[in-house]
Amino acid sequence: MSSELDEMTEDGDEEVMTAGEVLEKLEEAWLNEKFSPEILESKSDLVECMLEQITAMEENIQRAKKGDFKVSIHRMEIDRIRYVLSSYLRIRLKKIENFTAHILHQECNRKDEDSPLLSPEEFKFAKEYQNSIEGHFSTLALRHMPANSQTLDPKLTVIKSNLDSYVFLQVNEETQGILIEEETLETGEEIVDLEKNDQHIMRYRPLAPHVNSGAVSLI
Amino acid sequence: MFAEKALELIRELKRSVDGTMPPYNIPYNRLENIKKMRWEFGSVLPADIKYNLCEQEIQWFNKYNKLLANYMRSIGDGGGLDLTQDIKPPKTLFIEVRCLVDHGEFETQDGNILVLKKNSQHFLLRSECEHLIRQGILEHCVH
Repeated sequence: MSSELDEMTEDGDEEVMTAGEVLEKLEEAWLNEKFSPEILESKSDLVECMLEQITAMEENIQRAKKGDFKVSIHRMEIDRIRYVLSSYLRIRLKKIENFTAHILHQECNRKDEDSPLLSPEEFKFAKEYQNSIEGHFSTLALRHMPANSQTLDPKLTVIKSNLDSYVFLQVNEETQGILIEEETLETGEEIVDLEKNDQHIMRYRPLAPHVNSGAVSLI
Repeated sequence: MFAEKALELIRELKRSVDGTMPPYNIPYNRLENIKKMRWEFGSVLPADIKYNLCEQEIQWFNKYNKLLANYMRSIGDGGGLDLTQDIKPPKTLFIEVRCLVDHGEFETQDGNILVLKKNSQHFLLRSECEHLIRQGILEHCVH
């Protein structure tokens, strides 16, 4: 299973995708990002590709005849794509702002072979945002506090995403043996097999790796 | 006097039930509101809101403004992407809008200039007038 997946992602990097396929991927990434409690891997290549497409389409429209019926349809299409793009990046930005410290911590401890959580631009934003917040709190309030409470303890103040929240999902690839619930004193462990095209409501945490690999989509 | 104030705050803390804003979180919640304003009003704060902010908060707003603008400019290779646009999914290309205030001249994408006068109605590209609607200059007429 895993070797098959590896091959697929490698192919995806080299294979030339059509604009429609890129858009499909972007829409999937957008929905996943929208419904997952934590920030997912950065798909900046999809974003960049789609932005280039928009620019090319706009140039084409410039060349088209005025009053051509096709123009308004293309404009509408551009508007829709731009909405998906902006919305996707906005959702990510919101998560970065909410969980800045936690995400930066994750990103800094990431192994080199894992794909990055943030695009370079997002990483820069996150770092500067973190600095500005800390600076603001220390000039506004913390420096007026007694000396022993002038620093914020990261353990107490860092906000993390709630990975135990429930999500709706649809299964793209058959996946077997997902450990949903660890064994407790009263009950045994709970394992679920996912069939293709099934829809479920489940806790996000055990599903996280499968969302990233594309085996399930959040809906 | 300070002691009285402190007592008042402690009472407030005691009175506040679950789900209300705990007093010690005030600076953070204010920042959240200031952030929201950057998305709604753009880079310049209206005077009446600025009046209610303290010096540090105005400084922070300017910092955040710069950060966000830099980030949006760095998206993609050319020119960037304005994320404060396209807040709602687009339904139609053109929308009917009604002017709520005298705004003056407005140049559309294809070079036409029209005068936005109070109570006049226009048929405009949604992408062009979205920010004017959010600023309360235009109103989207829904039939």
